[in-house]
Amino acid sequence: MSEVTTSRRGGYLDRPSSSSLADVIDTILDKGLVIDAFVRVSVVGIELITIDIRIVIASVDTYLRFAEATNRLDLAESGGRDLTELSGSMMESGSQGKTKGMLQGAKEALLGDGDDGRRGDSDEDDEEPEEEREPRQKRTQERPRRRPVRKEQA
Amino acid sequence: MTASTSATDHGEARVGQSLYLYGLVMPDASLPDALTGVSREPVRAVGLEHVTVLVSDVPDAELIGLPAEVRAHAAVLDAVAAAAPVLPMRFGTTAAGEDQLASALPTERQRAYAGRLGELADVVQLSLTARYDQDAVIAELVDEEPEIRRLRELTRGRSEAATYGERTRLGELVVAGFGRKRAADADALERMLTPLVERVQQREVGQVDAVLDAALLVRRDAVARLEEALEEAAARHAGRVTLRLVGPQAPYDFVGEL
Repeated sequence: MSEVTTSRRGGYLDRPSSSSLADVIDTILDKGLVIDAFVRVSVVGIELITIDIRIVIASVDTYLRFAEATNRLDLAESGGRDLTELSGSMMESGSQGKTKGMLQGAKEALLGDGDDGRRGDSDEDDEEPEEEREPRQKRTQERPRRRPVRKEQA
Repeated sequence: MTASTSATDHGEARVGQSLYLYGLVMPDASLPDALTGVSREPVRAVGLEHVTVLVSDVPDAELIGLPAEVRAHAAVLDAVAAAAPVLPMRFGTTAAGEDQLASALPTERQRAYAGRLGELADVVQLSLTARYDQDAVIAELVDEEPEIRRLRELTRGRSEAATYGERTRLGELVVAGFGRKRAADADALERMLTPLVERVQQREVGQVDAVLDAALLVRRDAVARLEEALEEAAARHAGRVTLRLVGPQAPYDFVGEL
């Protein structure tokens, strides 16, 4: 089962031909038909991730991370560069690297391997290392990367 | 393969075999060939009276691991959804065997699901995510909010330990600023989408730089038009907001209604 979409590339719209793991988890988490008679496996790994995320968003960690990002930014002070100028360089550096949020980070740390990034169909340039993710990342990675899931009665 | 013929492909000698369930399709649905599912098992169709269930064997009855299985589950359903309406089962659903499929899905329930599949015949789900370019929005906030500007200048170049309180406050204000912008931008985006889609189902956003996470229910013949409109929007907002569109997918976000 290869491509199922009519995908186009090269535009501004990010239109991958296949879903990444992050897309998939966003999409199928807690959704779909539930029929009582059937047994559901309990999805331990996924539940842990969502708990993680809620903690992260409203945390001091997040505030400090955004304070740092605000400090790092090198523009308004020179009083010069307006947003239109800015967009050029932004486009090149891409949105995936530095703006990849904690959710993504946590997911990839727990679930993903190198080839499981935002773009499910490419295994190059999925740059993982990012300074601003470190404290959370380390903690997350202490867990086993892949959690087997035990079957239990739903 | 078609649902009706393949029902018998592996049908023999499977009694009591634990099954992994993907979703329900119409009995006459035309399905992609050679779908590979969870644990790399071939997906097959088990035909009931009014619906057909897509299943695969679970070779190791004990373990379903992540993340390969999550991806396999979605890959099967999305491939099917591209060709035919499908009602996805929740991830991780298993049945004790083919016999249990019929007993868990009595005729009147099958009819209800078949009716819903009929309603979904002409639509697919797509997922849209809109993300801020973090630096672009921070630049706006520094420009717009004096307190952010002040705290930024106060903390810049000084150690985190010496400015912990100010940094926390700065970060809090910036995060709140993202929230305000999100409210306005998500609204505008949804207004733009409304005439192009049948339904918009907003998902809870979990990230500071998120603008919108939404499942869109779109007529199959309107997908191209939606893509064009989003391409234009993405070009217009380049450098500030990035748009990502994934699908067609099974209607995960819309099984409960309609």
